[in-house]
Amino acid sequence: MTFRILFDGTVAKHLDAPDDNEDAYRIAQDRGRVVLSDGASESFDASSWANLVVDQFIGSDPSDEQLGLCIQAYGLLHDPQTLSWSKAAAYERGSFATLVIAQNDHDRKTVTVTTLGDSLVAWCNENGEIETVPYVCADQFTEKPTLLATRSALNAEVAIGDQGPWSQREWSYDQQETCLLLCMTDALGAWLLHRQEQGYSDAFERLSGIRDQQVFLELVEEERASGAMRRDDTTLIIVTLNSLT
Amino acid sequence: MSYSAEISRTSPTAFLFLVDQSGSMQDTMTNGKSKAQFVADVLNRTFATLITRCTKSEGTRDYFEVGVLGYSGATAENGLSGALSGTVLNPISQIEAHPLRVEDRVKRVDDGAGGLVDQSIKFPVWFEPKAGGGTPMCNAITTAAEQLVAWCDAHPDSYPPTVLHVTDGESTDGDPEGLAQQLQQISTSDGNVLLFNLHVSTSGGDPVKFPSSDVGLSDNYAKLLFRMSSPLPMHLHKVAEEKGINATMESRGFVFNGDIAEIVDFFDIGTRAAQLR
Repeated sequence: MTFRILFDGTVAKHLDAPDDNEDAYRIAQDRGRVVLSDGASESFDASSWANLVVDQFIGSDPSDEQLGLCIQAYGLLHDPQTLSWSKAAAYERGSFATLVIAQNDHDRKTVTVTTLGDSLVAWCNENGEIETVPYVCADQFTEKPTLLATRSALNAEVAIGDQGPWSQREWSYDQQETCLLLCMTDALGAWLLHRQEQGYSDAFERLSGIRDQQVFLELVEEERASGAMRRDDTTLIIVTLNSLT
Repeated sequence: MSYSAEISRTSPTAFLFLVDQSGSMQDTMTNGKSKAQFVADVLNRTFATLITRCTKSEGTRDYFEVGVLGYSGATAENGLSGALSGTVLNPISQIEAHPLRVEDRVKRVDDGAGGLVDQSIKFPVWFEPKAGGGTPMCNAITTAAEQLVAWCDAHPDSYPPTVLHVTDGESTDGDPEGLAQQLQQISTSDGNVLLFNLHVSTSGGDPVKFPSSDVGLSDNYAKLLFRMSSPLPMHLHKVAEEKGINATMESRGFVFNGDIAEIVDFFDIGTRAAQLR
């Protein structure tokens, strides 16, 4: 098998409120595809928006038309005419989310990653070399990311026909050895890059070695408690790829 | 690192607005409104913006506690009335629930085809303009300090409170500098209380925005307000830069000779606390 999920899990920002988790992801192992979205906290209904985004893009490539369908579906969830003034104002302001799509190409022995926003993808090749996209240093997480918005007017910058703020990267795994692909939301991504910059070379190994939700939860809570990781919804998906048939 | 605490329902922050309501606030600005009326409009809009940032489909989350102290004559008192008159700092959900009224107003927006169209909007009002009497700034700062000592005791690890002080004239009840320094000594484990000062003017003089020194300030009063203002935390530099303001490590949260645009920017920058989660 060339594309196999080793782990997927999520930890809500507050453990006693798991339903408030605004991260969403979908996996289509048979089609070699992973989609991840992080709903922004300052949103009217980030959870619904992130879920609509992953539902749409697990089955289709990014296009303005597909994004339009997401916005249309979101519009059916709420009627601003029936909302209080404050909810109507928050609805009008919009909901926002990141997007990561990782697509395996079995024949070409490549994986293509497309990202918008500050969710991070890390790739470890057969030599143990690590690359990340869209960010390469922790300080980049302090920048204001461009996100998919529920208001079409706010999506002008993310017109999918243009490169704009989108990042795309293709990695190949044509050797026999196994490569790893890690998709994660921003708190974990910032933690990983910051730890690497501090010289903690085991940070990637700690993450990529996770196979169990309890271990993941313990790592996240431990790092939150020490102040090394921001308290935010945190999601990790680990994929292994190799060219063995 | 200071000013980095996450802001959440279990660890909120506070915004306290100190508003000069002395007689000179009746003076008319270039937009035809009195300073008192325009400051009230911006304050009400700032409340609405804070509420919008905290409102999700299930309701308004208490990320912030918010209050107003208005001062004039010889006293400083709660600037909010009705259900919000019992305490100075109220959870933002209580502010959301208790506007004095919600007005229907019209704003002009881009029609997407190069023109403008009128759009009806809801404009909630919590704070009414008022102007008369002297400028008891010392009393106002002392009252604010009493409120914030209690607040910081109750929230020892929160992002510290921000005080946004709007005035148009000199104190009539003594020198406020020492009291302002004491106010800024009140702290949580995440940093000291921030005091930002806005001087509103109808003089037409050039506004000074977030200066890094008092060199170039026109008089002793402006220099006094500069010394009374907290340094701008690092994360607010970026917010200032988005508005074309070149902030440095030494920049203070201070605007002198502020007119319409500066008043709006001052409230916006001052209420952008970090890490809303």
